[in-house]
Amino acid sequence: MGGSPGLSPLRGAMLAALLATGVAPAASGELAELEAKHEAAIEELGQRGAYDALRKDFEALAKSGAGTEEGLGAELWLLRMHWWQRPDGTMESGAATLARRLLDEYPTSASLKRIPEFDYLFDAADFENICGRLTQVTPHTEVKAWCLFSTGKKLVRSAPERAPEFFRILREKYGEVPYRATTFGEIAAAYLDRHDPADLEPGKLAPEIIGVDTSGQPMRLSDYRGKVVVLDFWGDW
Amino acid sequence: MYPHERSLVKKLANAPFALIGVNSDRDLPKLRKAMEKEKITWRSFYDGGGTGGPIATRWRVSGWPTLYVIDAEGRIRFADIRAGELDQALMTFFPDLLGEESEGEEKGDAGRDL
Repeated sequence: MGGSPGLSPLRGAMLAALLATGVAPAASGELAELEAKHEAAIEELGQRGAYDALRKDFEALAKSGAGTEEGLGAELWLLRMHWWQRPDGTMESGAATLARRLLDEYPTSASLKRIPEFDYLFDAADFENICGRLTQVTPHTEVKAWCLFSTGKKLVRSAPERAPEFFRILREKYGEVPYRATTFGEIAAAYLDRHDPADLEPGKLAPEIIGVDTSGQPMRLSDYRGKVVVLDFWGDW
Repeated sequence: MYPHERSLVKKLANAPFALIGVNSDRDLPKLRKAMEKEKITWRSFYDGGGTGGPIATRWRVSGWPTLYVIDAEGRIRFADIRAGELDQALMTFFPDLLGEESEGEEKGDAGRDL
């Protein structure tokens, strides 16, 4: 962290999503201790090694803490770690089985928003089914919004003609719900208004960008008309 | 990438040029600290606190870093290029200001050959 990404670009939204969701929410007690151990183990053993080393401890906590947020936190860690089962091809089926069980055992927990957040673990059909059920059982607006958003995002790849309906409902019914540093309304609007690839080709006028800078000051791309602009999509990771 | 960007910004300080970021970091306070430490003086849009932010989504960005070069009239001239392709792209606009380094490198290579 804090260093330069060098010349090897981080390609692939999936890996980026994995890194972005790599920070577990603050927890208390045994779960927090295990998560701290896991963070330390990553430094020493790498991602895969840290998972192997701590898997049994998280499984034990999932059992001993069953029915509590601690237990669910351990289950959600185990869910996220299905990523490391990619090589043997059991990631999607394993993740779906665990997610369905969590829906049965913890239907009213707000922490279940992490299931749609981990959309990259699931097969598209399983995911839509799981999110559909989660939307019905959860009492939480935020969980419902996450379900609509992640289902729409997943459909952009697998069945793009069906994605807009999800983003429209998201914008209309859950537009004010926070999504990271923005709102689901803003991100839904962006998905409904993606630039045509042909409009991002050399020779085309660059689409306007209206936003705020990292200090919170308003800024527009067109403020820089008259200059050659390098537009650099970057992250400090 | 930062040292290279800093050097570009320095070389083109008096040219009609701007480096504009679209940042996808999640933790804004941490990002501000990193920008200070790395002397990142150029401005960035803050894109919603994650890789799938509204700007990256509209621009269909799926890899980081991704670069566009836009001319003074606002037209895209180089689309979706990688960091390693940037120098060559900018040479088409500022050959006099950016040429020196590559000449220097060529001389260096020639020197080794001798």
